[in-house]
Amino acid sequence: MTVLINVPAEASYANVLRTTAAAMAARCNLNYDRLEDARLAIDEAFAQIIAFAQSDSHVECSFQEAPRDLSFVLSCPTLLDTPLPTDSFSWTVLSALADELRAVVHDGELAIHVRVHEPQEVSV
Amino acid sequence: MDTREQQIAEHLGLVHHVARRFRSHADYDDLVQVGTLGLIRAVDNFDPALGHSFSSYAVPSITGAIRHYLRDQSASIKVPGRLQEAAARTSRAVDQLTQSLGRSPTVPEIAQSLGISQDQVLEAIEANHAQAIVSLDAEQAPTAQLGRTDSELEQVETRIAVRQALAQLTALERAVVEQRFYRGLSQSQVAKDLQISQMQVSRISARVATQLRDLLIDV
Repeated sequence: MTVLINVPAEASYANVLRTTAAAMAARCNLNYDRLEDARLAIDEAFAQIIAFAQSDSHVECSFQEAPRDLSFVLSCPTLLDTPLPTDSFSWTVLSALADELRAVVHDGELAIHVRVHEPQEVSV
Repeated sequence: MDTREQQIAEHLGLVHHVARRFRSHADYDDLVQVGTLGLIRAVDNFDPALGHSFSSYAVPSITGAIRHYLRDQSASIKVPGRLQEAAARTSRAVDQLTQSLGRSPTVPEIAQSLGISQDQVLEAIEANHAQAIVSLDAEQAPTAQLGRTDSELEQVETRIAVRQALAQLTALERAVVEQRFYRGLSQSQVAKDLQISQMQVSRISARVATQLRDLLIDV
């Protein structure tokens, strides 16, 4: 199932996304550690995206739920016309928390795709 | 400066970055201290031979140390309100279940063990993050907490050891382990799938269990 949520591109809305991410992670039956990772990851991703958002814009967040697998995409209008810098601490933290991560700048829109799931552990 | 100190110094920025994310929950300097311990642990345990980048190893170690610290803090509240009490109970349940299950528990598992609803667990998790606790517990010197063993980090080591141990198995042994213990198939199902006898499945399971145990004792 997909869940959509739209928030102003302002830091004070991060908690709305964190709470939603936690609830979605629980719906996916992710374990506590991964739930916490998802919370932190959406916080980082949101911080990244609002840093490059156009003023007075909104961030759309779409969550995709699957068993033990949560994906979300944050997107907003941006002034960026180059790829999102990936040498920041924020990006480093985000890539450590997420199992899949990519940022796309296209047609004046910045989108950050994040996936947190529980791997088949020890499938060596 | 030796390489260990150098590596720690180089990555202190990461600690600050993560600590800032949690700064509404506790004193920033305390978070940096605890996070730094997570970093030091990561520096000491990092094995470049496993092929991961250092930061992808260090970040979970830093966030793990900070979260553990915050959970400890919430568990130390003495006379809390209703929600805070649920938050503290949830923290303890997470730690206990992590121990008993040998993995991180799911929200339904936490809810069941506490006899509360899943929504209440989520509320408690939020409460754990939201409360800015000022510890009035002067006896609890930070150093007393800093010296504790972090069970989550120890599990990381165990996981790595198990992974290495599994890598040494033959293809057939690994297939049996995978089907029996990870897919949860019965001996007879595995036997049918792999076209071997049930007795062989049983023998291989027992042999691998012994091997893994021997390998893990050395950890």
